[in-house]
Amino acid sequence: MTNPKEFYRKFDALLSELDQIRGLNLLTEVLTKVINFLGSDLQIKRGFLYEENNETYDLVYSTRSQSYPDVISKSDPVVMLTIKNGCYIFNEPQDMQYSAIFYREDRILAGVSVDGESKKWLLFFQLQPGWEREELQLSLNSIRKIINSRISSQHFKDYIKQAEIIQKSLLPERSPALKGFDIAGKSVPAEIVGGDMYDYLVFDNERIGIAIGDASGHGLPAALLVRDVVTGLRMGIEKHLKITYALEKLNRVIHRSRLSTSFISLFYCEIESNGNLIYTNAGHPSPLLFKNDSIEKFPVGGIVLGPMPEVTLHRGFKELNTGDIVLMFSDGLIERTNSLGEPFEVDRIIEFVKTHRHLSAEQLVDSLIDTAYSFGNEEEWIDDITVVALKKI
Amino acid sequence: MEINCDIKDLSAIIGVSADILGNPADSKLFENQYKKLLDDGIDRIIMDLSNVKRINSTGLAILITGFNMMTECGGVFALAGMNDFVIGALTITKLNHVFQYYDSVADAISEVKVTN
Repeated sequence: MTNPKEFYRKFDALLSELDQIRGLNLLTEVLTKVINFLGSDLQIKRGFLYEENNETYDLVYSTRSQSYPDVISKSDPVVMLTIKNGCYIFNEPQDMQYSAIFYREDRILAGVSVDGESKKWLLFFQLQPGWEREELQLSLNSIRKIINSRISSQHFKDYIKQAEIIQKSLLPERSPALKGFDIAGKSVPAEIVGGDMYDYLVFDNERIGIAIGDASGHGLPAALLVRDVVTGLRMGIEKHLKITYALEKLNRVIHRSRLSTSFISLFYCEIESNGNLIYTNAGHPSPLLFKNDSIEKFPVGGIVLGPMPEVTLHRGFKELNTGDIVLMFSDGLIERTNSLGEPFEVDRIIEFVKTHRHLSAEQLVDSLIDTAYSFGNEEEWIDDITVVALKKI
Repeated sequence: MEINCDIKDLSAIIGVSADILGNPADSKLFENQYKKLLDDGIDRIIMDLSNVKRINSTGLAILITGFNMMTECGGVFALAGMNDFVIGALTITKLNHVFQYYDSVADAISEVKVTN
């Protein structure tokens, strides 16, 4: 090693570079950067990357013109020793005479194995005279750990991405058509996946159901509870069935899931095209009904779903007339704070709807969310936010 | 967030101080505290929330955990000293019908003693 201080400075720089690499080129970038940063110190001349493929490892990348076999058998001694040790220096090539990779006896190699979820990769570094075992072993082992950690982290991100796709698939693709009504909804998660939900249940041309809910907590656990609730609602709610019965049953399912510390607030209503609305409110912030000259709330219902083994919910009724607007929202909207720590509160929602009631349901929802976003100085959402608007036209 | 625990008249008073009760990392802390008290034979807990400014849904879940753990053992889990915001969160979720809550820890101690 030329200068230990200089070497570790370069090594630090390499690790920081590796941390910046994103995407699928991680391994090829590692090969190139190890040689660029530490090649002269570790006496590494070139690098090769092999990818596992059924019974063989196939050459997929080399830092210089290819002089290594395209395919190596999994039973090749070099492959077996590298996988067994994670990192191995082959400094006695005469002992590897049966290896396809050592058809030239003057080669000295360092091999590193990397574990993916479904396959392995092998990185080989060809060394030149002057290399030192201790620093080479230390450097390559550190790099191997970083690569393995990055690959695990990528897998985790892939799983979260899948969760995001699943959750988005549970949200309605479009608003339902109900004669005499304009309906729109939108949900913005604070994290990749969230604990808010809304859903439409269409029974026929004359009657639909709308649900809005907010699971306790954030992220994946909340998202899983939401998935269960959306599925449970779609299976449990049937036309002409007492809506409180379905939600009380759903409560039992959530409670028995042994996640009884988790809960979900849920507002569910069914609307008929003649303007009749039946609802029950399981601990959800009350929606607002904007009549021409008054504002009404939806207080009838009961406790949030989940904490208690049994709940009793009650039904409430409203009559919607032309021009009436029902605005449903999650607490992420009312608890959005500005730079002074003041919450958005229900009062600002009321003010907003009063001055924008001429907008379509979709415009109303989008514009209200934009207003709350601006109110919070366009900072990231710290809670999921969901708004559904229903206009009798 | 800070918590402390005092034992008075065979009741545990857990004092919580937080701008917002409900950091996900705190859930386990409270659960462990509840477990430890049960292991020590104490199944009456009074949560002193007089120094909690706000509470979110994770914070409510923390309280529900305590309530379920204590009541399953025949114990008591009461809340005390909540400000309007925290009471509001309980009211919206209707959890105010589940929890016993009192204006002050002193009120809670005397009630818990009487009812048990």
